[in-house]
Amino acid sequence: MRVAGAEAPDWVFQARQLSKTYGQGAACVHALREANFEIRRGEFIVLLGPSGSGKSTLLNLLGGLDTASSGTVQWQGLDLTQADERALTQYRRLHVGFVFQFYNLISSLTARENVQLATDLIEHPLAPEDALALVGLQDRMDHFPAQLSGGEQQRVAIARAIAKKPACLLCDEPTGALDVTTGRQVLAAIALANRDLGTTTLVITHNATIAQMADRIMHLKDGRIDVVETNPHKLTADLLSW
Amino acid sequence: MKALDRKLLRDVWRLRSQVLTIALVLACGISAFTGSLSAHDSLIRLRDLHYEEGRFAQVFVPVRRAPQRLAESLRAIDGVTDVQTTVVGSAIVTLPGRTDSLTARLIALPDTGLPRMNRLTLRAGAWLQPEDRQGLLVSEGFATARSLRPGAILVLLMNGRRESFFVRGIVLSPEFIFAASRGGFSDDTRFGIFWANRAVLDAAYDMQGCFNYATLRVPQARRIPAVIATADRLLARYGANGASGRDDQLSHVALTREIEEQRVYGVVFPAVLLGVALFLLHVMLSRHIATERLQVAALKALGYGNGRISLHYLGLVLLIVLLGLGIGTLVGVGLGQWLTTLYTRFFRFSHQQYWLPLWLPATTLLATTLAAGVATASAIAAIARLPPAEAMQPPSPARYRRSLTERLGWGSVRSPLLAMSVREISRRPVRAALTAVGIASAVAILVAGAWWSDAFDNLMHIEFGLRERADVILSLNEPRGPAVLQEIARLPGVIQSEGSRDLAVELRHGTQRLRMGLLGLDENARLHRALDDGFHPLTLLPGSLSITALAAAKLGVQPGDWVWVDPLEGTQPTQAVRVGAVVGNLVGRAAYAPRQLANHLAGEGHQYNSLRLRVAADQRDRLLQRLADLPLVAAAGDKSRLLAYFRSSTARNLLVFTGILSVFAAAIAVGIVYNSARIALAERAWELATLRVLGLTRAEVSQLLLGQLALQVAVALPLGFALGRALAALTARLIAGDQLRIPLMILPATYAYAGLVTLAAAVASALVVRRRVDQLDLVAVLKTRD
Repeated sequence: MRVAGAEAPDWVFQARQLSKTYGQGAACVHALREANFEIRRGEFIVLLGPSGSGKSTLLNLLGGLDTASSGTVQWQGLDLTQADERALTQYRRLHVGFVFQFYNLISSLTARENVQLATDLIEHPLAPEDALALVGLQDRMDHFPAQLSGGEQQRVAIARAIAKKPACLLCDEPTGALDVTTGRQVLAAIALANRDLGTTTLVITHNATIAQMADRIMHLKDGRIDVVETNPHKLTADLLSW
Repeated sequence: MKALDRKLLRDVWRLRSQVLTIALVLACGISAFTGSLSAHDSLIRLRDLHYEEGRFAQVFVPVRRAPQRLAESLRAIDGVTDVQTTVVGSAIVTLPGRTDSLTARLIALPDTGLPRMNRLTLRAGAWLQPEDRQGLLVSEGFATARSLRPGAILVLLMNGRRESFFVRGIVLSPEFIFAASRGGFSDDTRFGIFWANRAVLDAAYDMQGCFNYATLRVPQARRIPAVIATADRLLARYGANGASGRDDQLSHVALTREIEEQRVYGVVFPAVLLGVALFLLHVMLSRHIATERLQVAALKALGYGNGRISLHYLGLVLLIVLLGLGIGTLVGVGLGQWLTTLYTRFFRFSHQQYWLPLWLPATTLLATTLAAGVATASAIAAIARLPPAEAMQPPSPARYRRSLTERLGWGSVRSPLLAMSVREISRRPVRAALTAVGIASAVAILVAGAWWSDAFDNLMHIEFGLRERADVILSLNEPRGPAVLQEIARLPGVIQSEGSRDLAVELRHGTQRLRMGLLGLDENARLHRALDDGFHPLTLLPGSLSITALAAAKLGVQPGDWVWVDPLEGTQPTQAVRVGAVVGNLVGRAAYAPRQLANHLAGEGHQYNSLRLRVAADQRDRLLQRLADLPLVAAAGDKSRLLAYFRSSTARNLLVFTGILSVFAAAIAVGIVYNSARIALAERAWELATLRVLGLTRAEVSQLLLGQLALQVAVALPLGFALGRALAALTARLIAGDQLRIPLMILPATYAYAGLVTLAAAVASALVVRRRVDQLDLVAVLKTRD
């Protein structure tokens, strides 16, 4: 396994021998095996790999949704593997923005209120209206999810994630359920947050094309980080095609 | 076992806590239904068996003193198949070594041996020998209450004559299944029924060759009114006291009322419980099918038809119904047995048995299965409507809109979390409303159950605090002049004494006739007062009657109308009297008149036949002892003892009754709150997990889930109070019939009790669900879209 950029001093995440297994004995599944890496502040990372390669497990561990079986992962000095439930909730509340494949919007709340759900949690967030304007939805703020297209729903989810001005944005197959055109709009919104707000961004995808937007690409295979490659020629979302 | 059946069993296991809570609510309804109605059925059978074996008479004819030959005239009345004449009397009883005086009704046994009608059942000891003049048969209730066994000695004061007797046997009579003394209140410790040989009573009451009580067998019910009228006419000149049918027979009336109560409880409360259980079934099944849409689609894709899949889900309903039926019937049988035993403490039947009529479990099975089928029909129908291809797709976001208040611009909800709760309720208003109504029904059952305690206290207050205020009530052997007041007032311990003239009368208005007691009170009477509708003391208008509201309604009279008054004792003619007022008595039929009018109707001068005394508490026992020695006194009633007996026996029953209903109500509250929370959790797990991922704490997410339920409980409480009041009014009306009036007064403490029990059940259920929110597996929940 090759690790690039390990000597970088300003990392936000640092993983050492990070592993996750499910089940015991014969039924034991190694979802993630001994991962070692650092992620720098403001980086745009794409995690690539087939189903079952460990992408989601890694994202869940970084997001404080799941606990590791062994090894450590640190967030700016906070050991996420040792943190209790309360500390992990605080971590997610203050520092992490999530974007899911199926948007996970609250269907009883309008776009603005879905964003407000996040901004109510912290001090000095972006105004929900500003966050929605950033993703180009200033005219759809009072619509309920059922009244929005899939792409619009995902952009609301991105606005909800970035409105907290999180230090990192974790996106799980954000374009998985979208067509190309809509997918591009969504990726543009994610890239915007990364570029303009300096948010460290991790995107899980099956889609190798999306990797062209990243600073670095982590290839996962059978629960291991197989290759980490640096991308010197980042493309903007509108230039992508799949 | 087929794979689909295996799935059913696993679904039941997975949903076990919901299945169990719904089955328990159902079981509560079924057990109340089975318990009350099987007790009702058993009591009717026990009564009828006792009546049949004891050849219980249909008509009862009290008379002052009629020659024996009149028995033949009575037998000759069309419809009468048998006549039995006897002598009855009242006596004051003293037990050796005891100071308190008790009262008894004495009945003579025929010279020929045992009675043909109202036959006795010997429970202990032996029958009286025909020549035995010192032997008594004693009613079992009194013997048990006073621990009397054959061989015990009793001293009776009969018509001024004191004699000692031996208890020879302990017996039961169909005429006194409920041993009611004057006023209809039973106190086995202070009132007994004794049977002695005819010669004893003939001598004591000077009845040689005469009788003062006859019972008639009239097998054809339709002939009874004519028989009563003819008997009254035949005996009028001998001092007829008014013949009556079983409908006016104290024991029969009390027994019938209690049996009717069981029927009311057996129908009203189970109906509420069953309704709640069906609602829960409907919601649970709808939700279960909704979460299984992918599986339903897969089954359809495999080739299972709508019918087979529907049957699969109906199987879940059927299992819950069968579980509820099983538990409910078992508990119901226990409850029925227990209730029947409880009643046999007050009602002395010749047999002690409990029956579970087959129609009861058959009815519950049929009714609950059908009702559950109807309640879940729409959920099952959703299966047929589900196209397999569509079901394979994740559902699109549920459609919401702003709540009504937001749309009307009456205020916007600032907090998104509050907005979620409000819109969730406004999206499914019917379900939210039914949940609130379900919780309210728990509150209502508690109010309607605990209310009886308030009603009892209120009844006691009105009857014994406002109306009947004497400490001791004396019945005189015969009417006496005003000098009797001074005679009694001179006794040590008497603070105040007042007299009244009590008269049995029949009132007629148009074609309506009604028999009742008329109480003639002196103008300044304080120890017994007539009360108006609002239970304030009423001044009796000279020369006119005041009758109870229920009697007035039955006769169709209003103040100002004239009624015919026919005295049932003596030979006085019928007279027209004006109705001056309608009074607020709790008992159904009674009339008040100034004492002068009562004397006038009885054709006599200034006379009293009943005295009321206020007594110094420390001298009460001595006074009662003295009164027992007075020949002019037929019976002396001590109010404090009667009240103590009432309170002890009624308080125990009320406590048990309220306890059972509290369990039912708690089952409903737990069933509704727990199931609603579990369903909300299942429906919104994905949403709640998302909120947790966004950084909301467990407490915040729980608040969101349970806050909505708290809102429904908050709405349910006042609604439940109102429903409880209505349910109390309904049961009171059904139970009271036209014999009683039960004022609807519910104390704040009763509402508080109902509210607190419901809240406690709701909080306990919420805490259980809260634990599940804490255990929400974020990763697992987010993996699945549905």
